[in-house]
Amino acid sequence: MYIALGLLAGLLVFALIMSSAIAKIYNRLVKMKNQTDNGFKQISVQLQRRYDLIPNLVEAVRGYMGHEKNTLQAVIEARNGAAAKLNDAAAKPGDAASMASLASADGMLTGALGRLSFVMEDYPELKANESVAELTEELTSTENRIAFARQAYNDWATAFNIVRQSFPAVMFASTLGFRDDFSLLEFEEQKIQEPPKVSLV
Amino acid sequence: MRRFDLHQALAEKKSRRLIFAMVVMQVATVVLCSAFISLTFATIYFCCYPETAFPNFAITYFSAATTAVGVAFAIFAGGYMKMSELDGGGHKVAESLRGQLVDESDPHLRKENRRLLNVVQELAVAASIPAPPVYVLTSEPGINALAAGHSSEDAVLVVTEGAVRHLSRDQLQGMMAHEVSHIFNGDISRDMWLTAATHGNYFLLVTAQEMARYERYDMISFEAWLGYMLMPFGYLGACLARFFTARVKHQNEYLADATAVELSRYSQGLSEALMMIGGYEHQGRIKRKEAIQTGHMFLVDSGTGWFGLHPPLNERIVRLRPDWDGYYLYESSDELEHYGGIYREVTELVGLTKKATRQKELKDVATNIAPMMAAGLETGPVGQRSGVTAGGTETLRGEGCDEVPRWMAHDPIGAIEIDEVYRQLVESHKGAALALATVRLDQFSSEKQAELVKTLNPLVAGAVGKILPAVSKLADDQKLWLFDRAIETVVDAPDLIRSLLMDFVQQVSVPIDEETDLSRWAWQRIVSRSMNRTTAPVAQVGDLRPLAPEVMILLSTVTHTDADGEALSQYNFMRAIAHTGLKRSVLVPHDQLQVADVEDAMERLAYLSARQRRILIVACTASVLANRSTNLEEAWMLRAICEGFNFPMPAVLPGHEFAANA
Repeated sequence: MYIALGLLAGLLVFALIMSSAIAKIYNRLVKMKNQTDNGFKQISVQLQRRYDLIPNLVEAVRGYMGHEKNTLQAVIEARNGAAAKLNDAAAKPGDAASMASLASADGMLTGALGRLSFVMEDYPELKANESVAELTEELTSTENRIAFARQAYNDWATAFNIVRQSFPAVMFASTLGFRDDFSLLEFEEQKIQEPPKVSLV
Repeated sequence: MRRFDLHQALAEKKSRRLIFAMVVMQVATVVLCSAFISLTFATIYFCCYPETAFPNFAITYFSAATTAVGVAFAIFAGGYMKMSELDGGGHKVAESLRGQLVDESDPHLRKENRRLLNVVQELAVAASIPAPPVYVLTSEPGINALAAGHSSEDAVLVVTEGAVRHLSRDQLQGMMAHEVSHIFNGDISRDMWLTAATHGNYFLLVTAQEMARYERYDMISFEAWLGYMLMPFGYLGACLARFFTARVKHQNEYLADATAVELSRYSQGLSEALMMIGGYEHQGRIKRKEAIQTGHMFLVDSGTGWFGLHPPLNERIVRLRPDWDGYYLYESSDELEHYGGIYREVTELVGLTKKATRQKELKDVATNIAPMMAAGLETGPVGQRSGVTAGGTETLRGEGCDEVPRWMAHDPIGAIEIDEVYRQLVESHKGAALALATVRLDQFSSEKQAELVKTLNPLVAGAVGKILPAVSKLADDQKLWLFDRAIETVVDAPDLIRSLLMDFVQQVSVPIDEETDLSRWAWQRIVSRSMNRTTAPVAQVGDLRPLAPEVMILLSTVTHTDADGEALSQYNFMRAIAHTGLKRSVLVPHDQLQVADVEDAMERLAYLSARQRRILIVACTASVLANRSTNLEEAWMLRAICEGFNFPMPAVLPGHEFAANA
C-alpha cells in the first residue's frame, strides 16, 4: 500500500518535473520561432523599400543618360518582376518555390543595378547631382539593411535549429509541432558582367 | 578578427569571473572590516576588565554585526545615490553633453548626417533592436562616440562631428557597430551598476573621513576613532572597486568590438576607425568640459593602464586585425588615395634608402653638415631684427623652450651692407612698393621686362624703368635686403598702394624663363601673406609623424627648388630628412609636386608646435645648404616657409659661400 503510494507520489513528481521541462522547451521554441519569423518579415520590408527606391533613381538619371534606354529598361523590368515575386511570396509565407523565384528575381535586379552603376561611371555629372547622390546613398543603405536583415534572420534561424536539434528538445520538438528546421537564405550573388556587347551585324 | 564568437565567449567569461571576484572582494572587505573593529573593541573591553574571558562574545558579536550592517548600509546608500543620479536615461546624458538630436524628418538634413542615420538604422536591423536616436556633438573635431541609456528602448547614440566628417562609410559603420553592441549586450546597465558600486565605496571612504574629523571638546571623539578605523577599509574598497570596474570595462570593450564584428560581419571598418583615431591629430579627444563625467562611456578614452577604463588602442586594433603593421591611418581614405603614390613608393624605398643610404647618411650629417649648419646658422651675420620677421622667438619661449637658436635671435638680413640710397628708397611707401616690383622684374629677361613694363600703369612704369638698372646692379643678398625692408614698409601702406602692388603681383605672376611654378608660388606667397597678415593657428601638434606626408611634400619642394640632378636631389633630401627623425621618407618627384598640394601642406604644417616648426626649418635649411651655396630662389622659398611658420629666416643668404669645415 505504502509502496504503491510512494511510487505514485514519485511518478507524480517525475511527471511534474517533466511537464515543466517540456513547457520550458516549448516556450523557448515558440519565442525563437516568432523571432525568426519576424526576422523574415524584416527582409521583405527592406526589399520593398528597395523596390520603391529604384524607380526614383531611374527617373533621376534618365535625364542624363537618355541613350542608355536599354540599361534603364532592364532595371525597371527586373524591379517590376522582383516586386511581383515579393507579393507572391508575401501571400504564401514559407513556400519554398515562391521563395526561390523571389531569390532569383532579386538576383536579376542586383545584376541589372550593377550594370547601371557600371554605366553611370561614364557620367561624371551624375555624381555631382545631389538628388542622385542622395538616392545612391539611400540605395546603398537599403542594400546594407537587406544584407543585415538576412544575416539576422539566418542567425535567428541557426539558433532555432540548434535548439531544436539538441537534446532534450529533439525528443519533443516534432511532437510539439516544430517539425521542420528553418532553411537558411542563400541568395546567389549574380556576378556583375561586362556591359552587353552590341553586335553590328 | 574571424572568430568573433570565440572572442565574445572569452570576454564574457572573463567579465563574469571578474564580477564574481568583485562581489567576493566586496564581501571580504566588509567582513574584514567588521572583524577588525569588533576585535579591537573586544581587546579594549578585555583591557578594562581583565577578569573576563577574551574575547567577550556579546561585545564581539554585537560590534561585528553593527559594523557590518553600518558599512553595508553606507555602501548601498552611496551606490543608490549614484544610481538615481544616473537614472536619467540616454537622452539626459546626450543633452548634458550639449548634443544635437539628428532629426530624420528635417528636410534640410545634411548629407553626412543622413549617412550617419542610415548607418545606425542598418545596424539596428542587424541587431534586431529599434533604431536608437542619434545626437551629434557639434564643433568637436575629435573622433569618438558613446552609447547611453538603460535598455534598447531608451538608449541613444552620441557621435562627435569629427567622426561624422572624417570617417568613411565603412569606418563609421564599424564605430557605430561598436556602440550599438554596447546596447545589444546590455553593457550600459552593467556599467551603471559598476559605477554605483565604486561610488558606494567612495561614499564609505568619505563618511569615514568626515567621522575622523569630528572632534568634541578638543578631544578625539569615539566617532573619530571609528572613522580612523574605517578609513583604510574605505580606501581598500574604493581601490578594489575601481580596479575591478576597470577590468570589467576592458572586457566590455573587447566584447563590444567582437559583437561589432558579429553585427557588421566586417572587422576592417572598426579597426580602420581605431587606426584613424590613432593617427588623427585630435584623436578621440572631447573638448567640452561636460564630458568629464561621461568620459568613460566613450569609444576611446585617454585613460588606459591598470585603473584606466579603456584597453589600449593598439591592443584593440591587434585583436581586430592580427596582421596589423603598427601604422595608424592619417586621413580619410580619399586623401590616403591622394598620397597613395607617395606611400607606395615609401614601402619600396624604405628598404633601399633605410638600409643603404641612411646609415651612411646619418654619419655624413654628423661629420659634414653639422659644421656647415654652424657656419650658416650660428656664425652668420648679426643685424637688427625687422618687425616682419620678429615672430617665433616669443612663440618658442612661450612653449617653454628656453634654448632659442642664434639665427632666431639675430637678423642676418639686417646685417647686409647696402648703399644709403636704397635705405632711403624703402622708407617711403611708394618707394618700397616700387622696390618690391623691381626686385621681381629684375628676375625676368630684358625682353620680358620690357613687355611687362608696358602692361603697367604708365606712372608706375616710368618710375620702375628708372629704378630697375640700379636694382639689377645689386648682389643677390642685397636684393633680399631690399625685398625684406620694402615689405616691412608696405605692410602699413595706405590701401591704394597696397592694391596697386597686389595688381602688380598678379601681373608679374607669369613664369620667368625656366622658372618653376613653385618659385613663383614662393614669391607670391611672401608678398600676399605679408600684405594680409593672419594670426597663427592655435591648435598645436607636437609630433611630426601624423603630418609625415606634408613634411615629405615640403622638403621635396625645397629640394627641387635647387635644380640639381636626380641623384643629388635624393642626397640633399636625405640630409633634410635626417633632421626630422622620421623613419619613412620619400622624395616626391618634381613633376608630381603641385602648387595646390604645397599650399595645402603648408596650411597643415602651420598647426605644428613651435619646436616642430623649428625642426622643419632647420631641415629645410640643411637641404638648401647641401650644395654649399644659396641662390635667390632658394632664399625666397625658405623665406616663404618661414613666413608660413611665423619664424624669422635663418642666415642662409644668397651669394654667401659655406665651406664644409668653416
